[in-house]
Amino acid sequence: MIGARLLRLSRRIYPRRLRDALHDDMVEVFVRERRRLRERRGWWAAVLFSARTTLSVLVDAARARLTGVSSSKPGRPPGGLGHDLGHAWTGLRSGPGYVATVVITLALGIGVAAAMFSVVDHVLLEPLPHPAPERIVRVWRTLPQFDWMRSPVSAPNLEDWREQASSFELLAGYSGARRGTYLGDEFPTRIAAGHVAGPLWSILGARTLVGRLPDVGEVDAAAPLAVVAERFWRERLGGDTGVLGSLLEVEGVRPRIVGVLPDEVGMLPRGVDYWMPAAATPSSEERGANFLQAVARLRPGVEAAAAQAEMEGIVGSLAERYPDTSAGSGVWIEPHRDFLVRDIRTLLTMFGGCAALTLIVVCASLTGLTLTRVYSRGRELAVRAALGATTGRIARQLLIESALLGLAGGALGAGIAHGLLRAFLAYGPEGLPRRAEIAVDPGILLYTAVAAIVAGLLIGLMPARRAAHVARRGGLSGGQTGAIEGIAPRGYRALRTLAAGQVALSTVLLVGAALLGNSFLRLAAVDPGFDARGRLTAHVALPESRYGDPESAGIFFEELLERTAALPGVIATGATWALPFRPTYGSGVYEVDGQPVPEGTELLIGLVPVRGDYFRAMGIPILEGRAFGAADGAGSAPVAIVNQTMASRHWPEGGAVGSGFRRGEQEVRIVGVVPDVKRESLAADSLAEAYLPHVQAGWASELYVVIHAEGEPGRLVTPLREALRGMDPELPATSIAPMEELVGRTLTEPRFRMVLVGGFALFAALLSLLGVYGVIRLVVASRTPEIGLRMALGADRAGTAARVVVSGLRLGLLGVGIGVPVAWAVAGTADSLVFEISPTDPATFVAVAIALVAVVGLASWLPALRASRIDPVIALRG
Amino acid sequence: MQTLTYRVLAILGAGDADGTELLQRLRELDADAEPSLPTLYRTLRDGIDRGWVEIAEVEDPAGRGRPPRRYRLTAEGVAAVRAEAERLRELAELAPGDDLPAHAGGGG
Repeated sequence: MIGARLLRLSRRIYPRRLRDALHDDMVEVFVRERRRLRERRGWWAAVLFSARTTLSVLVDAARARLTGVSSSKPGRPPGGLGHDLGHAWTGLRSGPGYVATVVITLALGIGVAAAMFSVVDHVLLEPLPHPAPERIVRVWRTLPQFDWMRSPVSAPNLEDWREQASSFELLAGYSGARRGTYLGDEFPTRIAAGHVAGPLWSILGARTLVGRLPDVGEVDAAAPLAVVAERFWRERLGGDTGVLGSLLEVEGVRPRIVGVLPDEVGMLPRGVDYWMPAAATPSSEERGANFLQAVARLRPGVEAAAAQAEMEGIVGSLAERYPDTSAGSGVWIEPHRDFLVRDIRTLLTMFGGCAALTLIVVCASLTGLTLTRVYSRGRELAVRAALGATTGRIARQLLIESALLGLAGGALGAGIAHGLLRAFLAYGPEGLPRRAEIAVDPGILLYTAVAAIVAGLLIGLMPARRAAHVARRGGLSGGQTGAIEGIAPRGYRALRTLAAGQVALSTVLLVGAALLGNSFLRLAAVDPGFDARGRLTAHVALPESRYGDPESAGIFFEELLERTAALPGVIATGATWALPFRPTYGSGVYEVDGQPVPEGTELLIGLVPVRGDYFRAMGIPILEGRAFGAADGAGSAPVAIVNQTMASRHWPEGGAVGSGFRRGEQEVRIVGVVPDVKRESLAADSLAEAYLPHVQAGWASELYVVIHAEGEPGRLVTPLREALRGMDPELPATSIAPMEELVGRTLTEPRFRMVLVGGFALFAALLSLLGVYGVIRLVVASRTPEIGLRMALGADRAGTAARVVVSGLRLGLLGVGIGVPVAWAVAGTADSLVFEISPTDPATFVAVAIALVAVVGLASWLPALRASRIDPVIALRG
Repeated sequence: MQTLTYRVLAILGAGDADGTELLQRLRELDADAEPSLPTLYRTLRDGIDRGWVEIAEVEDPAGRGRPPRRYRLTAEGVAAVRAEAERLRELAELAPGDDLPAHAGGGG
């Protein structure tokens, strides 16, 4: 598609009289010919044909512009091109510094743009890798009273939806990872199971690497049928096809392996090691067990709005029929693509925009540099003109030079794009969808090639036009003074416009980088509500087969905490089900006596079961009241410690301790208040939360153990594993990590965002400073005789230097004056990317503007210094 | 007349053709000298400017959108291609025959 689009666009590059029906006909022939090649000789032949035709059209259009004719004479053999290539090569060899600067700068610009475009293209633009992707939708259960729009659904409700809804061609569900103990390795480890209900594989268009996929409803009486993930199959099962038909060594229900699913199947959550039927889970028959994410393919011709209307009726009737489990539920049909990119669209658009701006700055900067070089080559060009070269021929040679540089920059840029893409995938946004699809593929290489050629021609077009003028004027450099003649006012205007444009675009990028940097510093300074230093955390999950009742689980954890507390250097140990920055979290509805809530709404509270000396182990201070003690046992009155959000919501004047709240039939007494603790991210506000004694909560057979010790927490990993093995050799400790690392991970993405945009901005700013420097230097060089005359007539050196600096400052002010309103308009759309700072923060804008103008002034200082040292005698003689 | 121009006119002399057919016939004539699309269309444009080639009116009774544009040789084009053919024939007759001296035979 890109080739045809470019060719259609190329109509605008041709002179007006050549934009006729013949051009349209050529594009149509191009499309037919490319289709023929793809069908007969494969996509690579089609790509080569596209690239070759695009290049020849661009060169032809540029030549038509420059020479006023559509080309050399029709049918002329291409021998002239070789001649021009030879001249271009000689010309480039005479300026190795210029060549290196252009190639490296262009490679960076193209590499960054290609990498970012690759990400944007694969994530936001490419069709999803499923059959009829535009008809795939998510079907969410909603809970409007809590403002929850994306909730899972239970297996019985999903089955009712599938039976009653006529809008869907296919409807299925899947659950994320549910962990179990894997006994196939030397030591027991935890692996993740996903569950599938309905024709999920058909919706995804999934195929196995080896083996097969279970049919919908296929049941094996002996064992549920499972497909294992490719990564798990290769790493843990040795990539052995012999495992097909064998049982997977997991504790509890052992599924039979029938196939291997490739890693690149889209939509599925990452980290799942094997998939088995949802029917194999005990909760699959409970209407209140909402654990499946529903996904559907609409029937052809059915719009999402029609499906929404039908599903609202179905969900409403189910709510009437099953009020205990379904009352208050709604439904929301969301296009799958919208769901996938919901959190990432703004970020990727910003990255893509920054890369495009950077590439524009690169082209503008190199155009200025090439233009400057044209003026400094005035003598050579004049000699060529004197020897009979036409202006068209000279322009063509310069265009070929820049096209060659563009190609070299593009080739290097492709390598840089590959490296950047790998870095992006390694350090970029964690929730990036379609990650497996992102790569430097032939399509992106074609884009890179086209970008390189277009950039090369753009860089050369204006200088080539000026070259004809310079050759005619016979601009010769002025001997020992270094003066340059032959620069017309139009040449100055072009250079100034380019430099000011670069400063303007750099302003936009620098404002973005400053806002993100400011946000990052504020985020890093957020108090998480606990002390992460010196804390080691580990996840311990007790299998239901051996620790099914709360009592035995309680005894186990009590002993584990005692053993870890006895380790050398340990200050305190505790455990919790919901550790900050870990995925497990639960919530429930509550009421406070005497504080009614509006009709149709309910109060929600986060529930955090804790055990042992948890608050001390986490460094969470008790602000009021007390921590849990031995008296808060299973048979005692229910107690809780609440966070400040909860306390101030209901008891703003104080007095939370001693008060209480109700959860169902249970009265809970508040015995303490602790600070708000960050859970999901440092940026998110805390919910109202209640910490409950684990023994009273009566659930949670998996806890995160927290050990606070002197010194480096990593030294406790082995003693912790040994303590656990001493209690139960089949029980692994997983997700072992220092608490500081968990906090640090939350800063990874904002840091990456800041570094990437900061890198764009600094690169662009550096180029624009070099651009300003180049313009001012050229101005000084071309006006050397004039400056010499002024000095001979009494102008002082300081005044001369000041005038040069002022001319640079004018350029800076012009660029900043254009850039600030543009940045203001762009920043207003990026509210979700900044933290605790307005995207139009005036102080940031003012600081960037002042800094940029000041640095532009400094860039003008060197040429100013040179101007002030001009010897009037030599200048006038030259 | 340039070789490509002559070939295009000669192909059109055998009957009207669209761009794809022209490209195909040129490829059959000499696969190594297949022109790029801009070159082919420059040649067509030049032929139209000189009055040698015209765009044929094509009926579209099925109403399926515009069919490919077809090109036709004009009477001036026929005369031009005949004149060029005559010139080439005369040139060919000037070529040396078996009496060519051994050192000028290109090693043949």
